[in-house]
Amino acid sequence: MRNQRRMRAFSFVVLLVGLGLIAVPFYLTIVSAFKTNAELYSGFFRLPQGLYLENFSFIVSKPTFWVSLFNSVKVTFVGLLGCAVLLPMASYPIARRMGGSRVYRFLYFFMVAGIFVPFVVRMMPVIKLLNSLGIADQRGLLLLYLGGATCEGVFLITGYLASVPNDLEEAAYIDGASTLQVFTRIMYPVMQPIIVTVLIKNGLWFWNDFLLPSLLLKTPEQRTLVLFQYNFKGEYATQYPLVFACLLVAVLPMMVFYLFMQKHIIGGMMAGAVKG
Amino acid sequence: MKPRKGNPTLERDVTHALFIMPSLLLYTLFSVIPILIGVYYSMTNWNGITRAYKFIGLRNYVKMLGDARFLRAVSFNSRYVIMYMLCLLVLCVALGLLLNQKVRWRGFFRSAYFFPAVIGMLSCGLIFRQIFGYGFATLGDLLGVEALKSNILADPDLAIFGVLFVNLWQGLAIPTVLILAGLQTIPMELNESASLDGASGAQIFRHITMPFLLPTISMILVLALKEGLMIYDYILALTDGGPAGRTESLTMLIMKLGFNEQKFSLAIAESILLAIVIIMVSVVQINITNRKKVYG
Repeated sequence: MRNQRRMRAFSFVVLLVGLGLIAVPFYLTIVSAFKTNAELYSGFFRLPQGLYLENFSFIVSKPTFWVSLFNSVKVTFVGLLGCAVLLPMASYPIARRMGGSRVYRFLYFFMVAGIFVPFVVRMMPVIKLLNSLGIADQRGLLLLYLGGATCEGVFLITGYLASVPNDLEEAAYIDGASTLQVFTRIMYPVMQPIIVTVLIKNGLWFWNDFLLPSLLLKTPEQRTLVLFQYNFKGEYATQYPLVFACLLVAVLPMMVFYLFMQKHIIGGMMAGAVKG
Repeated sequence: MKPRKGNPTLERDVTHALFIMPSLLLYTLFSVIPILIGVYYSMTNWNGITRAYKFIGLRNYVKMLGDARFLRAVSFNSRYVIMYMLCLLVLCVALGLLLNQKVRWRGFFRSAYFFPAVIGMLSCGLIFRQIFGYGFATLGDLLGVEALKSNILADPDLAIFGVLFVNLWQGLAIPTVLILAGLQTIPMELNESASLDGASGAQIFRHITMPFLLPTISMILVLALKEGLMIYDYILALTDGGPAGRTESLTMLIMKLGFNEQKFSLAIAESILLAIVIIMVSVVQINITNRKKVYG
């Protein structure tokens, strides 16, 4: 018992050190954002002397900041809406019929196989394709997100459904319910935990993605928050406090979101892990 | 199971087909067909802009194998991915075990350790670029330590470790949660009866914990391989491939060749080779862990 207690104390100390490693970059980002240039040069690790807010007001006064914030929200929201509708719809028939039908089994392997194929291999052709279709903008971006989310989404939801017995559905069918009714009224609520997992994973991807937006969103009106901060960093590279403030503002929505949703996010990731 | 009246099976067939159609179309159009187009272009000499190009067979593939820049990127990227996978594996299993114990503040620790995952790779890279570029220099001045004074990202030999550190700092979060989830599938009784029988901690780890964790570890390694070989955001944010191209990753090289240097078909050929390597290593890796799982 004493051994165990000592072990726990040791673990606690190790975890505390790790916590420090995680916290220091955030601490530096936050304190630096409230400093003037001169203040930063006089002490990088020191707390700011006062609440210097000019960095923030400079960023917030830029119209492109608000436009890109709105774009990020829009792209993430529409993308997730598409995922929440399309992925369960596609997964449900596959999960229920791949046991007895070759066609559905083929569809399953066809749609899941893409997990192993890295994005670079289709990156350039797909950009050309979107260009020739005339939708190399947010519309194309959303189509790529939905197409790209298919593999993992179908994989996770089908895996989850394999452990759900189908008595409920059969009873509903016997009572004369249509397939659509069974899906919307019975199966969708049943699938909800794994749908949350899929939405969290894709939400983090859509919100934080840099690669695809950098290839598709060329005008300031189209840009997302990630692109805004990248360009901002390029423009004001020498003004460290200003850049820190911009980075802080850019990650703030996610920080707040995580603060309130952490239980769901971690729970969702763990649920997906066990099913996958 | 038999339908009661009318012809509901036809109705079900049609609805099911309609359900699958949108995802199948999106996936085929934007994921599968571009790969096929890519394979075709990789055998041409198209620069991505002009109308005229001709079929040159496998010449792009031969060309890149003799290209010093490509080989340098391969060398950097393979060293990087091996270090990344090893460090990630050791650290995430260790962290998972630590966070699975009944330590004080466990819930808080779990939340805190997952937190880096919600921040984008680019933001994370930019934050660390600022810190490496400025913070360490001032710290070095303050403490009078010569080694800290220089920016690690500007050192041709050390830059790779700077990138690795940032990648791990953020990349550990999700694998750790996956390990935690894996650890919770181990029945409590198994551990308890083993320790009652006098098994040491190391024995329990080897004969009970590891076999249960293998499927999770296998998944983590497959994801880490893909992530490590495709690393782009961090490098762009941290070093932009420098100093002197020493940290130019394959994806970054492919992007530069394809979009800036008008070597479209060569870039695609390189990306296809990269994909083949990733798929082959993943398959081998999954086979190995599956075999271990059966006998383990």
